[in-house]
Amino acid sequence: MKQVLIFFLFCQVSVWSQAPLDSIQNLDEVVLKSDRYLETFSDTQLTQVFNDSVLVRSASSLTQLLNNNASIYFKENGFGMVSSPSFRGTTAQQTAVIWNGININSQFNGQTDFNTINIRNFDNITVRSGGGSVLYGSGAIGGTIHLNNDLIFNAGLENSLYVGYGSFNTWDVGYNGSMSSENFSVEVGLSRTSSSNNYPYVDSEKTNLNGEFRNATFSANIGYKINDKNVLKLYSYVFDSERHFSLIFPSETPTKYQDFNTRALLEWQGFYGKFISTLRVANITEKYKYFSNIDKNTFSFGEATSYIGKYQLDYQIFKKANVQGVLDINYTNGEGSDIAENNRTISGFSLLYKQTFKKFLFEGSLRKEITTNYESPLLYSLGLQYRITPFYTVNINGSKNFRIPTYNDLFWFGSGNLDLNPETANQYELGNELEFNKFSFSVVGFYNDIENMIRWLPSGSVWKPVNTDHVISYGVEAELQVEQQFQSHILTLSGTYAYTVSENQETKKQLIYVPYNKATAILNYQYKRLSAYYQTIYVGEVFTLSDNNPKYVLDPYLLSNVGVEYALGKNFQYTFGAQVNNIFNENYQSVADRYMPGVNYNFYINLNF
Amino acid sequence: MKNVFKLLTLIFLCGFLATSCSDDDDFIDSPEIAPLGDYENGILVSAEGGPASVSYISNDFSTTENDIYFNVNNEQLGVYLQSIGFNGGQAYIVSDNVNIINIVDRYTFVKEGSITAGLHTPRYMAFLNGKGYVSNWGDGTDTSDDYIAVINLSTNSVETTIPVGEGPEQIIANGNELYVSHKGGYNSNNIISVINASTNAVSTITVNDVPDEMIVNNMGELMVLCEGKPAWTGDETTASIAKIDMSTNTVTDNMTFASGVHPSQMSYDNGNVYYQSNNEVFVMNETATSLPMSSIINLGVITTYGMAVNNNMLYITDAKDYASLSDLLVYDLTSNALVHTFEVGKIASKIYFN
Repeated sequence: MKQVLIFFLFCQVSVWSQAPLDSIQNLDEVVLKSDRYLETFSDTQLTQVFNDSVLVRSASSLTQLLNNNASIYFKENGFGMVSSPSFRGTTAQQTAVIWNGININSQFNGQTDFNTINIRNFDNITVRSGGGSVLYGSGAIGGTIHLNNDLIFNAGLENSLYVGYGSFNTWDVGYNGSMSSENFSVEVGLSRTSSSNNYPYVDSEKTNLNGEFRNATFSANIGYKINDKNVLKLYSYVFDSERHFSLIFPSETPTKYQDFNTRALLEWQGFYGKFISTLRVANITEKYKYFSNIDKNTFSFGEATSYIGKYQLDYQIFKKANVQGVLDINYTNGEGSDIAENNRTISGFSLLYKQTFKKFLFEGSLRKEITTNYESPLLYSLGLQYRITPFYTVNINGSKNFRIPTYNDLFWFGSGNLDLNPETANQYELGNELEFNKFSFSVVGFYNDIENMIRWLPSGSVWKPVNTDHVISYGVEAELQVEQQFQSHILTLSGTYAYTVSENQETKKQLIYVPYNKATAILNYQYKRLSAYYQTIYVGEVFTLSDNNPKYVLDPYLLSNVGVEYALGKNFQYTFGAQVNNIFNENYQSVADRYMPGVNYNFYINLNF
Repeated sequence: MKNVFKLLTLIFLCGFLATSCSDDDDFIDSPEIAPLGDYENGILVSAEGGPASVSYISNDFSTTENDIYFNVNNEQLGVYLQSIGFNGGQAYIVSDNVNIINIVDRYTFVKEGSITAGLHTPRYMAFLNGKGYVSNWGDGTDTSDDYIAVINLSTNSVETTIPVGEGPEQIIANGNELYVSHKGGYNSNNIISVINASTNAVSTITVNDVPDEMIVNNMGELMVLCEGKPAWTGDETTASIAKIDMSTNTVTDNMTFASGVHPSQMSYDNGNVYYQSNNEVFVMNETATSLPMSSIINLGVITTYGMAVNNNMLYITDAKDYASLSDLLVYDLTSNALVHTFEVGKIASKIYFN
């Protein structure tokens, strides 16, 4: 017991963690996090953590979770179809998705399709606003989305089963089981989502045609404490999906798209006095097939494999000052129907420093990559936190971030441009956090100057990507959380709001598909075993043409969802829920001509045993 | 066009790259709204989209109206509007990705019907002996499913299909024959198909690579602009303007461009042949046996996407960044000066005279 506690403190606290310990109620249990930078190097930036209670109430796609609960805008080509984010007014390639600490954006188009991430197999999902390229690499400009699996020790056998069924024949099933002793932990996850997705369009005779989709995920994570000083962790993940792409006109030729992704990560961590040594080896594969005619077996494809090696050494200089050096190497091999087999190797070196001093906290980091592919800028991040009063904190952060050219940009037959350089972003932000017991409020102003943005332009008879655009995005992000309790009645309100200007500096026009305003809110009422909630999402007008022609805009929309949940069991461990989504039957689109569902229903059971 | 199509697919798959760059032009005439219903005596400009649209500009340039199909019929045309075929009082609007041809009265634009079955990536339409002939790519990547659909114009249905080589593009009728340029779809090709309208028998004429635009000159010759394969294919070939004797269906002259030059639009007006290459417009007499050395107009830094010449006026569409509304530029060919600029639909590609 004592040893376990010491181990826990060692892992979680000595590594600069400012996180409160209240997440662990039972000190017998030990939780090892996969992505420690979220604890140690994200103090001066806004983070939003979604854990079980939020995940259970969300549909299984990452798009739905974040569209309903965060200020990120999603361009969704119809429900469940290709979905790309705009975070703080940036492009889809400027948001990085991080799986257990590893960047998994596609090598081909540099972005993650948020409808190819099923949330059921993750313990928590964190949204981290703002730059993070030193820590998370390419694309961490607007912000990063973290998919995390925790390894839990000393918790015995734990099972969790989720079954959901909803409108349009949508099934959503997930199982997570873990077994752990003092030194050993195994976690297995399985999930499957499928939907006919043939919803009727609001105010129309038409229905969503050829929109069916299914996906399945398998994950297995193992932790082993070799001794007091050494831990081994293995994370693995397989994702398989097929989507038919919905049609705008019934007469279009139906198409379909398949994804198959695997991820594996092995980590060895050693604790030697004032040193912590971490060695990570990972393998990531991605594969897609696009069938331009569903009735034929001909397809175009892309396939890439990456190997990542990373060594990281932490040293505690003083009681409250730590330094860390990181060496990493990333090798990728990829090919596709329009891309000849190519490989690239990127090696990098990072240096990080963090110190707390009375009411101040300072974090600073540098990264430099070496590759023959592009000219790599020196990336940095500097953050300063000042706790003015116990409940009021001010954060200042400045960073330089980038998005490297993708395989499509570099190697597309006839178009690929080997002279491309990364897009670079200089970013500054100022955050204010108010935190009381039952009330927290934060507001961040940000300014992001993004240069050398890659755009495909016609060049004679062919299109070529070039570093051309210069975009400045700036705005405000706010988050609010309030809780009120009267005897057994608990009322909580949480919300987000973002105001975003993202302007092309040549044309002085707002980027297409970036709303000036987005807000989300959820009001939850709990009385003993019963809870009921109202959720609302507001998305302001977006331009669909780059000249900001007022005739070609998507109207603003306001969505409302309601739900009830009832918990059974001694520890409320069996939850039954029902939801009505889009209760006012709002007719809305997030991409032109891609109509989204009207009123729809969902029922779910979540059993923990 | 092929690359644009491919790129649009790519952009579609990537989500939408939210980047832009548009060339603001202070020269935009302020449009007046035309009364609905009368699109006679004017210019029609079709735009691929999406949204696909048709714009109207009166012959005296005093009246313009965008989105006339939508305004009249309250329905969208469907991406991507490839071309419009005219037959008598009717216009046939060909939308390739949605496999539809919408039929309207060419002067009122009131929808009269549509062809919705039997088309697969339709591109262009011609008319002969009371029938319609539509070139179809089939699947862009499949080299063996290309065909000409023969349309019964009273039932608006496909009555038969004529298999042809890869990537049939523009189609024109002459005498009892149809001439089809095979640009090649997603691939490339180098043939002109000649179809006998009585027997549907197909013969081919070999020309330079990537034949696209065709005109019939005053001497009854078919002139074909062959763009040549671009460098990125790894097999660059030279462009040419070929002249074909339509009585013998043989190439009588083939004027080749310098290597590396790939012209992309060609028009004909009053004995003169105009073509565009690298944003420069060239003119030559139809009897010329060699290509002109110098251009008459430098269009500047624009995205030339469509061209037509009529009554000594040159019309050019500028697709800009392909993500905003295009401009129609009107040049007076007497002075070679830009005289009008009109805002038209997104990715405006074809200009017709009503």
